[in-house]
Amino acid sequence: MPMTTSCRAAIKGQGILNQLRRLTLPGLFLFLGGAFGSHAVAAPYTPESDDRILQRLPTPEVLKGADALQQQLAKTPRDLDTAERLARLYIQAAQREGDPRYLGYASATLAPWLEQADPPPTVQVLAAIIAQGEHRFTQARYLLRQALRENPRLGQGWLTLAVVNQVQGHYQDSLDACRNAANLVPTGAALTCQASVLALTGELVPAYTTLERYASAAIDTPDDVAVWMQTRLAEMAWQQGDKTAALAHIKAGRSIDPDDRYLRNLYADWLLAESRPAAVITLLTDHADQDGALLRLAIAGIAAQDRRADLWAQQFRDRRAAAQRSAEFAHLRELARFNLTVEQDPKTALALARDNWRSQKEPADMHVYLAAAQAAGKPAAAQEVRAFIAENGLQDARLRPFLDHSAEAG
Amino acid sequence: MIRFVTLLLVLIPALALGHKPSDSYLTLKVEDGGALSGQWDIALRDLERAVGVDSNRDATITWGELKARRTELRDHVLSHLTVIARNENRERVCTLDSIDLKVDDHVDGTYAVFLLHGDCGLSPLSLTLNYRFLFDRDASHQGLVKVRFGDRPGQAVALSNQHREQTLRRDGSGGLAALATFFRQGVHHILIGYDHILFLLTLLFPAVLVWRQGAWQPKESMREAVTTTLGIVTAFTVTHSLTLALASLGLVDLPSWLVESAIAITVGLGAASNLAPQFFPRRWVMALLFGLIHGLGFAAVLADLGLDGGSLVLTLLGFNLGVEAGQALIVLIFVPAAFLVRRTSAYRRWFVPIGSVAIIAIASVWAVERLAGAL
Repeated sequence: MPMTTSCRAAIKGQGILNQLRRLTLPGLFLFLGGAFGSHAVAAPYTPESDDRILQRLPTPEVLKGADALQQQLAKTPRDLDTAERLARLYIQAAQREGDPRYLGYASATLAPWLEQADPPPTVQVLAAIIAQGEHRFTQARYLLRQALRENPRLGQGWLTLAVVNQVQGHYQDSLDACRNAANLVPTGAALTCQASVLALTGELVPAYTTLERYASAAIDTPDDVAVWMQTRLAEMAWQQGDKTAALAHIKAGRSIDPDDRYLRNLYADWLLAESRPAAVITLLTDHADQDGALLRLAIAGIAAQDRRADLWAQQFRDRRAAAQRSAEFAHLRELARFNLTVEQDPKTALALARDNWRSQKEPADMHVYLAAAQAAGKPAAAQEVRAFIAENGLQDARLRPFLDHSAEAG
Repeated sequence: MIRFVTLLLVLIPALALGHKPSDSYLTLKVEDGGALSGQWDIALRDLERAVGVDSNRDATITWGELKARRTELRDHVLSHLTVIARNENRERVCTLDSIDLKVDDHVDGTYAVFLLHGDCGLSPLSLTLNYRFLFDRDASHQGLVKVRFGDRPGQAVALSNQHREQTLRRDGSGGLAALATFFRQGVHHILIGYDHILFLLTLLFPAVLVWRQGAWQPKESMREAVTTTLGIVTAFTVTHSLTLALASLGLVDLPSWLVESAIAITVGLGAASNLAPQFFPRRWVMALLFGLIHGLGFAAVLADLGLDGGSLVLTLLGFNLGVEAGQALIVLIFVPAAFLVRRTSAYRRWFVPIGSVAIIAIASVWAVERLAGAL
């Protein structure tokens, strides 16, 4: 679609550079360009009226108790228990609202202990969760190893380690961590942990069946564990190509927690795969302040020919450009998907997907890498993904088209 | 179940957090005499976290609330920033004050803008910034700082909880360093700019040939080839430098679709002139005219690199020298090679005409694409 790309380039008023970029390697220049540009856009002003609302402050439900804890901590600054409770609230808020500021608040709360020569293991586990949330996986692993050496009975620590290892494709280490967590966390959590890894290593069907059976029989699973379980079940069902079951699990999870961000985005992806972009727009319009939702709105907007499509795409670009300035932990997977689907720039998408692969190896990372390589007319460029899939015996119906294609081609 | 309340976060770590993290934007300019000016943009959410602005606790911040606390806010933020100026033998802490408070809209919300002024009391060779704002309440906060010494190019640093202090030298990225930076950018952009390269090569295809009796014949001497090449390259350089300067100074401002379409057309015409050279007797004239258009294209690149904060003269000079160096590299690789094969009929009868036709085709696609983009 060269015409649309060119059209967009002209709208952005930097056509020539865009052409240059499109013809050549450097996807990242795009962001650099945006980053330089974004600084000087508007000029400071004086609002005309005192009543003018400048900023709405988010008031996450989970932070209701935070003020009280904060005051208590101000009175007794050495009270580790209060500090940990407050940090946990902030971590939850970050997770729910998708706002990394809260992770910074959590670190600041724990700072007095983290600065000690030998921080308490429980604090190190929380710091690891924060690091993992900021995509600093290596540091997360380091903190967890230290904490678990000192206190191997921290179930939360083992679970976090399992997930970090899983994301990075260290499946055996991940499985070991799940086993170590087994007697320290609720049964449902331990099972979900194991099944998630097994599903990526050639034992998809038995892993799904076991977990599914547990999910339908168990009655005392805590809500947060149940949501996690349904999320993983949905992904495993989809991996098997069973979209109906995937939807059932998504709905089951959403009935427990309608505000879960990950499930909402997963649901949107499901709708997109079913070519129902209008439903995606209905689902996500109120969540456009979150990048993950905005990305899917931009994709759905184009598919549904919604008049807000350009607006959403531009908002996504602007936000990424601003984030780029601060060397924020990169969301390369999302950026790759945006470049592939919205910008129709498979070359840039491919470069981003390749960088992303260095740190993340989940099925979604494989998908965007393979799809970008194919769209760029270079399916062989994603050979390392195929090697990885073959090595681990991963099965995934969503990836199959790309794998078959390469078999034919090569 | 308090032990496991954080379980959810563990689940799906690769889930992108959907917002920008907390950044403030601090811009400072120090004059040779030591006078300091600038502005500091801080998100209202961060001021609320640091000091508290929402007096009536209704989860909104109004201009009235912000104004009412301006003194406390100013005192707080300024007490969390120290600027130290040094010259050969002295150092002094610069005074900093902010009388005027404004606001500005950034992509992630409204920011308070503290307009800053102060005095370092000496002519600084370096500035040390010690930044402490918000770290005790948000450990992931960053201060994105841009400093200019007089008219030198801006230097950017990010200050974080782990790196709270940074020293910037007046000559750090000023003068030659800036020149070098933009020189490299110039080289880079000519080497990745397919359409400029193609235009240049198209004009140079026949530099080693001469049109005689309705066909391309090899030139006899290297000297002739070099003269022709120099004529073309010089003409192209003179005019594109001219329009690059005019556009960068803001004296010429054409819409980018027009410029890029015109560039595509110049490439096509250049190729056409190889097929029917009788209609284009003086190639250097063509280079002279079309150089005007390509200069505007370079200016778009330069504008995108960001001229803000830099000394325009140095930037332009560096960038242009870079463009020339990149161009010289292309010429030095292509012309000798073409000279060696100029006698072969493969070059004269096949490479030049077929290459030119192919280039016309490519250029036509570009032209249509770029023109269509404007509609």
